[in-house]
Amino acid sequence: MTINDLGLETNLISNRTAEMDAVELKCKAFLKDYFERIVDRNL
Amino acid sequence: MQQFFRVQEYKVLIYRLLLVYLMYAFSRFLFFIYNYSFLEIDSVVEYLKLSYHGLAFDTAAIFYLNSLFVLLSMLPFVINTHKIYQKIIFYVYFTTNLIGMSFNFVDLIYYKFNYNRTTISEWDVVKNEDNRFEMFARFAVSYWHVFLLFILTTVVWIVLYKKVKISTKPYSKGVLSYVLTSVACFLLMITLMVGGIRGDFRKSTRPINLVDANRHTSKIQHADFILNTPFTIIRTFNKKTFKKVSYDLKKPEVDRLVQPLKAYPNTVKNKPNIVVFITESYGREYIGAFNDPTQIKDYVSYTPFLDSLATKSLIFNKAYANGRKSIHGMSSVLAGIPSFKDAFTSSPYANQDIESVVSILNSEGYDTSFFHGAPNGSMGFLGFSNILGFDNYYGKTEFNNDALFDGVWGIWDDPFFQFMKTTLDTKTTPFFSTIFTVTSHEPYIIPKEYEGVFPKGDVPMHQCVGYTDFAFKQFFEAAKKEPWFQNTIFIITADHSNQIRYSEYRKLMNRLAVPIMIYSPNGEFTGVKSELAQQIDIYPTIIDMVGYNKPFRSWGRSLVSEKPSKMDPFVVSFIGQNYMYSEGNIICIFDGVKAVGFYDDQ
Repeated sequence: MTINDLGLETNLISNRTAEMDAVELKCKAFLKDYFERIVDRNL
Repeated sequence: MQQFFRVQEYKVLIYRLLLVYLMYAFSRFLFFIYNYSFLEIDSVVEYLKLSYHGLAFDTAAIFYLNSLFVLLSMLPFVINTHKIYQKIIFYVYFTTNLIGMSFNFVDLIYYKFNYNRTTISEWDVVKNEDNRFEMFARFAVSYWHVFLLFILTTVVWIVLYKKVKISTKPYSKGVLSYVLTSVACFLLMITLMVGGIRGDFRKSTRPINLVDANRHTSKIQHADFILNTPFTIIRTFNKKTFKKVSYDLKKPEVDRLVQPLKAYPNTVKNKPNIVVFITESYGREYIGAFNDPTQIKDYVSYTPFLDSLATKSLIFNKAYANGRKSIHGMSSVLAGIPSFKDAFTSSPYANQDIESVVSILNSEGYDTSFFHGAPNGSMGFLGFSNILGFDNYYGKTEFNNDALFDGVWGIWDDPFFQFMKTTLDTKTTPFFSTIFTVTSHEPYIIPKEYEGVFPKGDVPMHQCVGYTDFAFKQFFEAAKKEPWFQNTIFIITADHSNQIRYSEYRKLMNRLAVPIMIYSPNGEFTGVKSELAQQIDIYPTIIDMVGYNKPFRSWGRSLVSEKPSKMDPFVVSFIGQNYMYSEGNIICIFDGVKAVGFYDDQ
């Protein structure tokens, strides 16, 4: 699978899919772990 | 003569500023006494040496805090020597400086609990407490001696301040002379203050930051002795983007989704040397080998050598930088720590033990070294390399030949590559070495003897790209004659991209497009991969290559693992004011609270 809309021209947020929800969840999980480890000095 | 150039006023101003330095030295001494067991300063010589390095940070803090005082003292208001005006200056001086000094005194105690100089991030801890006043009162009672010391220091400071008074004799020259000489002296002072706040006057050096204290230390806690708390608070002000977020996610779910601990158990008999090139501004756009899939019409490559090396390498033509600046690149590549809104290395959290490719390879018996041809300390790389634990840092000082300095950033790439090669010749194997290059950057100049040799191209950057490609060629031609070469894996990437020629690379995501190329002379890694890859994947990739069998912290994934990864290839970065998380054929734009955009190929 490849991303063709690298210019971020067509926002598909009004047609959300389960795959999009899953990517958003991964983004949130990443940021949560990232900031917690940095702030807790657990790198 | 006494009134010429307002000499007497300037002498008093300098005396008052020197008093601040004296008080900072005294507060550093108290910091040492109160935290003796944590600081581990073993001798008077070491104490004096560290104090000397602390002067740069004292200067920055003192000039920040005293800018209004200096302004009021120097501007030609005619009434500057008047009693009431001097009283105003007195209050300005002591208000700002005593606030700053009080933070130093707080750390006499708080350091024991925090193990770091206080930064603005500590406010995040305190502001959520409803009993702030009670906390303060308790602190005052429990540590009455600190309060007493602070009051005594203030009294002595005021006495010393008042010992030297400004003459109230009227200025004897004409008004024009008074104004002109005052403005000239003021401009000179401003220049000195800007240099003092930045740490020096060189364009190539970023303003000194917390991480720079590690440039001069062998123990991480010595950085806190070198620093002062007003400085750590001022320099982290408005740098509070490093805050915990919850999103109502529980740890097991986060661990399942992120897999922050990786392990690549395998056996490697003859541990390979590893050399990582973080090539300044060397975007994927410039390298032909990475541009086959882009199908750009009339595309021109400026990297004949790297294009040929790519045919014998494993390359990732969908690789991206995790950050936008050079100072983002080092932590991303070597420690797998991306930077988003603000650089991790500029944050209050950079001074901590960090598991990285350096710490792990140190534990595996590798000799580790970092090369950067800029003036030592530029970009905070020296300080951060000490935090990561590199055995050796080689900069412009170690190169020791300023005739090959480009006049702006550092030593030209070609001679500095050769310097790295001859230094590596002396290393015991296995070794791990990283070079951060300098030439391919604004102002886009190359050595005079090479002018006209490389294609000028369509943007000024192209000529520099050609020169650095040539430097790569020279390096590999010399290195391949050495016994260590055959068992070495070379990884070539970039910190970020630079001038854009082709519209394909103006697309938002492609502005972060960088190469990742893995070359092993024994042909172990070859081919072209078109899956998503990112800078933070490089660290776990190296750990996988050297056969490290224990779990380690890494948000990235190995790019060469033979076992199917539980992690899907992804890229995380920050564009505009939003996070960008890409996986599969989906890009999620996330504003820190919720998704605000999804993009793909539908």
